[in-house]
Amino acid sequence: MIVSQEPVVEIVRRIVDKQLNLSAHGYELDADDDLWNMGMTSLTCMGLMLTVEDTFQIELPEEALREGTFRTVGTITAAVEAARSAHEKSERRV
Amino acid sequence: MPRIEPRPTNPFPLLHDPAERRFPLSAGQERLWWLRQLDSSHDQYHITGGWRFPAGLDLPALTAALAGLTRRHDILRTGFVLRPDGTTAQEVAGEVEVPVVRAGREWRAAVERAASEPFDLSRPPLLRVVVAELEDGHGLFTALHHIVTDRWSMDVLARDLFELYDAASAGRAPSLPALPVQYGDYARWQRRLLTDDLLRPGLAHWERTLAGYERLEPPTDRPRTGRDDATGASLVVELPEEDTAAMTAVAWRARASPGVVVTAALVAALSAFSGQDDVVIGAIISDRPRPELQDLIGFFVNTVVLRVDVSGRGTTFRELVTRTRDAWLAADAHQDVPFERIVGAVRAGSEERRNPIFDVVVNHAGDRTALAEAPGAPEWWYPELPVTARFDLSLTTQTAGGRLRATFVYRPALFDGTTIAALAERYVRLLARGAAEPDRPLRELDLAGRPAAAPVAADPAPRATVVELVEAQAVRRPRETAVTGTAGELAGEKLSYGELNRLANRLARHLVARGVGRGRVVAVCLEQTTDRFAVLLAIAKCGAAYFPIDPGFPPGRLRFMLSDAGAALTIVSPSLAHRVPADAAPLLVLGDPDLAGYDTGNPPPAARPGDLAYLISTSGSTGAPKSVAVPHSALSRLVAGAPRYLDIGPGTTFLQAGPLTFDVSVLEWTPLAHGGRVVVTGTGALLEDLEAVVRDHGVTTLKLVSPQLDLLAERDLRKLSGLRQLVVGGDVVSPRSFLAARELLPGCRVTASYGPTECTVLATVFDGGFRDGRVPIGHPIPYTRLYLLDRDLRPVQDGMRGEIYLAGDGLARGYHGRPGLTAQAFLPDPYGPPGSRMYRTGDVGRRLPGGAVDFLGRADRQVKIRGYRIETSEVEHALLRHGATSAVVVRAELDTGPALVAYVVTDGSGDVAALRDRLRATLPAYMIPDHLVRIPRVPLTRNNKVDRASLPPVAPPRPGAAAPPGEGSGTAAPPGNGLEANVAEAWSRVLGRPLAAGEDFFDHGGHSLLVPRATAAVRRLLGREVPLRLMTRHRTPAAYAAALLTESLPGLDAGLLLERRTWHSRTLGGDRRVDLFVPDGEAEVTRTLVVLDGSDFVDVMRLPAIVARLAGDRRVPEAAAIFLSPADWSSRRRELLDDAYPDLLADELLPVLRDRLGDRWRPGRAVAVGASLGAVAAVRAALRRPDGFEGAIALSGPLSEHRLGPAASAPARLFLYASREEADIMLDDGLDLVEAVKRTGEELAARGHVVRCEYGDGGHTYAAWESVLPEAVSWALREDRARDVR
Amino acid sequence: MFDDGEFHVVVNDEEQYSIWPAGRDLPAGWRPVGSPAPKAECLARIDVNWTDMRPRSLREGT
Repeated sequence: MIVSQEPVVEIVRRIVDKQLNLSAHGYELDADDDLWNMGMTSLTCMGLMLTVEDTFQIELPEEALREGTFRTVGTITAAVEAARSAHEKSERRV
Repeated sequence: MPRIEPRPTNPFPLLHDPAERRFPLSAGQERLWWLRQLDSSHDQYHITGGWRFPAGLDLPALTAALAGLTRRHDILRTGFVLRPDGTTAQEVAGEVEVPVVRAGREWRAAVERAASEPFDLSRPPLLRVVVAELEDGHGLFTALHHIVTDRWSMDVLARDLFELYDAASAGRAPSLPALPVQYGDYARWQRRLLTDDLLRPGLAHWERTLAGYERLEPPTDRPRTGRDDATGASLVVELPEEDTAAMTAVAWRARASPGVVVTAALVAALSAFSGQDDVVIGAIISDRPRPELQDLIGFFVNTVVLRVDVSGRGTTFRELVTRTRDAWLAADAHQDVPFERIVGAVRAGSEERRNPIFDVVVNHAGDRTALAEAPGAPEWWYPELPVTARFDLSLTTQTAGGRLRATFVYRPALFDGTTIAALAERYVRLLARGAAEPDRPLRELDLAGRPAAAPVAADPAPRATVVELVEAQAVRRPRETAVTGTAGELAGEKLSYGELNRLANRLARHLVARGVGRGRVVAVCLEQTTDRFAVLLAIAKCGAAYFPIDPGFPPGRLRFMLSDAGAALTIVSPSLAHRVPADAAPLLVLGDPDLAGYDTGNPPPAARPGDLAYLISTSGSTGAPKSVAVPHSALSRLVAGAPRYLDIGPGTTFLQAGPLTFDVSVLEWTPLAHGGRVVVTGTGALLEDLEAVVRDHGVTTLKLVSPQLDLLAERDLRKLSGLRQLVVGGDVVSPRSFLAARELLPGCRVTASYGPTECTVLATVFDGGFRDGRVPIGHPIPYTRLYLLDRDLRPVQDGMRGEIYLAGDGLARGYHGRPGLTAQAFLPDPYGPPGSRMYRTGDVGRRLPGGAVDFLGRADRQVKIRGYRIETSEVEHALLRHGATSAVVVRAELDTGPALVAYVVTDGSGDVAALRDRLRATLPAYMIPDHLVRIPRVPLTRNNKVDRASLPPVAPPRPGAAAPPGEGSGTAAPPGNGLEANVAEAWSRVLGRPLAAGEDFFDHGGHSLLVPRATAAVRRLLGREVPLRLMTRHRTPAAYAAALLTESLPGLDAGLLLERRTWHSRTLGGDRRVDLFVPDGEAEVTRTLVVLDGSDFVDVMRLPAIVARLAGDRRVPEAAAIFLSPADWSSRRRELLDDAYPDLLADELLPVLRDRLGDRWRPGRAVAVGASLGAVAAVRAALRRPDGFEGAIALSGPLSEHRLGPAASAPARLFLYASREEADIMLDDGLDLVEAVKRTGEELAARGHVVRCEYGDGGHTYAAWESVLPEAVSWALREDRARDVR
Repeated sequence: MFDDGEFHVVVNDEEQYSIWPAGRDLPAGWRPVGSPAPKAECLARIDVNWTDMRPRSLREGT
């Protein structure tokens, strides 16, 4: 999936929304909404994790693999951005 | 990366309707409701929760809190009802009072009662509370029915209740999150998803996922009975913190959740337990798909199926976790398909009392801190309560305090605690080791725990050959009798040790002179005489091997065997000489050579331990026989250890009742080697004289195979009362016979034995006690080792099933002349001395507590039928328990598909149908053989094994034909009447396959979860309430239809005269049911009806009552009716459409009614009445026989498909009806049924007939017709025809 | 059982032949003969090579 100039947070928001079927139910997702309170289960969280990694072509590092990372759109975005910049750094070194 | 299918959104809005009080049930609730209707004797679906209040409970505050709770959550004020139209609904009551029992100190009984007493689902609140006085403070105990709650809800309940309680105590307002919707709103919202269209993709997914699945069949400790037993027991294990953390880390790294990992470990443990790679289990998912639902109490649970394949030699734990994760994700995405729809889609088996698809369920309660564990929340209180098991085995896991807690709940009726403990141990080990080494192949992880009882390197067996041993006995007791029996050519009826030895020595010298020596093979074909011992001993003294051959074999086969074995010569008894070809090996006829001149002293020792002692031929599965070659060392090992478990020393007399060609005869060496006595006898296959022989020869030790024991058990075992030991060997030792022997022969040691020829006669023996079920095969005999190994040749855990491998000094050399075959059966023994081998038996077993081995069957004797794995031996056991003398069960591939066929031998009184009934009472339906065939005896091969190839083939009954004799009730009779046919059709649609009127719904793919749908279909057909239980008691359409009529039909009013007759038609032949309805009294009858498909109109639609009522209301004049039913259902169509049918009605039938009415009849024409195809016939009658008929009532007829009448005829009055839903019914001419009726009406009107067309609702059902009949009959029979409009 | 995969033809000191799954440690007293192959091929080889099924110690009279 080609990631365009669209801000990461918007893409993440869209992924979460799709995974949790939120806007279909009339919800506007804020970056700080606790997803666990919005109906996310450990199963849907897994699906979210896989989709996020696949969409951004990243592998989340060990320290990001925690429940806290997936608590809000904001925390997910932060983890994605961190993973991407680490990836870019290592690319540049080559 | 797998494509992650998202769960389809419910596109409908989730709204709260404050005015609404009645809602449909959610799919899950509906299932619980129906389960409760089906079996209310015990209830497995109660949820309980308890909390401690060390500071005591303020009861007024509690009461206020409970009131607040029920006000807040509508579901707690909800009752569940069945409405008159047959649908279920949940109704929210205005106010309820929660019953609170103040139990004081003696609270145990009250708590148990609260937890187990059934709830009346129609009377809310489905919640009970008990306040208990504990040692410190109070305990609050709640019990609810699952239909209004789940685990998550209990957390919500706790939070809400305690907040309300605190608020009430403190006199403040409670602070709880708002509830935008209530459960009823959710249920309505959820149901909108459950249309066929919306469910189709989900159903397709489940069909794909479960295609070709096999039920998981863990070996049970006790046989499954058909009875429902929900008694449960539980076992809890915990994973230490360190391992839990490691497991969580592995989960995240594998992009899975801990719930997935615990499932993966369970799958792997179950796979080892059951020996199956393709594991199918159930999973419970807590489902609150919208935020508005998070704070509600209610039943938000879906049941799904997980199918995970564990196979692959290199499969690692990580890979297993990934596969499990994908199964979970897919299941999660398709959880909206109600479970019973999944069951229907995969036609999940015929088992009524067994959960469909799976027996094992996993339930991960989540890793998030429970709401109620928030600081300040009361502590949970778990009073001890009897455990109920909803499934055979379930695993509930929860992480608390950093440790994983796994609770196994199982049915003790099936499993011993030790078995589940073994499984749980393996499970925990898998989790710990898998988490520690996730990338190591599972097969390499050390999972067996305690090293399998490492058979100690025993002392090697003594090497003295039988020759040396017998020679020693001859020295020690030369005059004692060694052999008694029938006299032969060489010896008389009695041979002493001295005589035996001398005779053998002479013969041996003769043989040597003829070139027999070490490494040679001598075939023998001998009568059952005392001679044979001398012959065998002589051959052994030469150092050669003896090879028994069966004189009953065709010469060609014998020729092959002789040359294949390289026999140097064949020694025969004179009477058998003609049966043995002399061209393959020279013949030596006993008695011919004169042995007198030979020396009687022992010849020089020849046989070495490594030399062959004998060859025994066994049938090969590929047809060509193979011979097992057994060296002296193996025979020595048998003989040396025998006194430890066999009574064969001096003073004993041994008898085995089999031929030389059967390796049991080799046991005869054991008494001879130890100074006992052997009897040889020639009893027939039926052992007629056995008891006499035992008595006459004073037999103390008898060896039988199990079919022989069964034979004797049929007679009187007490006749064998002189025995000191009875040894029974073989595949399936009938527990009944075995126990009978123990009981009837109290002075006798009854021993079971097991051993393949490849391990020299015996491998294990069993002397101990056992429960009902199977006779264990026991413990290895001396110098023998037994391993239970998995597919990777690793020892299985105790209690787990494994394949039986035998090792030690008893192993044969191999298969004579078959190196390849030998190599694949005799493998290197990893657990024995260097270079040793082990023999792969192909049998499956497991270790019982106490160490005895339980024989579970052949590895290849498990059959798979309709998704079930069945051990045929288990069915055989059941048949034996229920009265069969012998039984063999096989899987047959018939035209109709795979079938389980049982061949039984019963004594004269046994009726096969009765046997099937008895089986039904104890065996699960899927294990009940499709065909029970009676045979006079079980065919045995030469080696006394069941000759499966000789079992007679089964011809399945043709549909419509009578059942084959001995089968019991006919299953394929055609329906007897319209109602039966309609019920059969309705049920067929539910099953997705055709079901005949005489076929049992549950035996043909039905399940109790489909009962509601099937009953609803019938309900729609009839338009009235039908009790659900009817279907569990009347399982075939025929029985059901009959019951429907008797149970639900209100009695006809007094004053109605309805006569039933059998009437024979001249024109069409056949006897028919005819009902005559004649109104009460003496008044003239001016109007008459002739009704086709009479039984339906009488029994179901109750037309006589309708006519009587209309006459009583004066809407029509007095009318009489004659109802004609078809001769039989299969000929109905032909009859109705027969051109002569209208004539039959006019010329033959009408006179019957006229005669019956006698004087009361006023001449006039009748009105014909029919529905469906009957409508066509009714219209034809009116058009073609206007002399007899003035008109017709035609309901839902395919009128355009058939030629109705002549173009011009006298005008008729025609009432035509179609139901709007019948627009779905397409006719052959391209019109739908509604159009057909409309057009026909128009055409007929154009031709000058008086036509009235009516359209209604209700479909092609009795209900619809019944509802239109009053209108139709009034119009048709009306006095004042002038009101008709042309 | 382990019917899939490749096997070694193996032989012990008594010159008795058998087979063993390739890649697994061989039990003591056994050594491999030739390269791994599917089961059927191993058995075919054994049929050809194992001509005298008597244990070596018996043949040599030891």
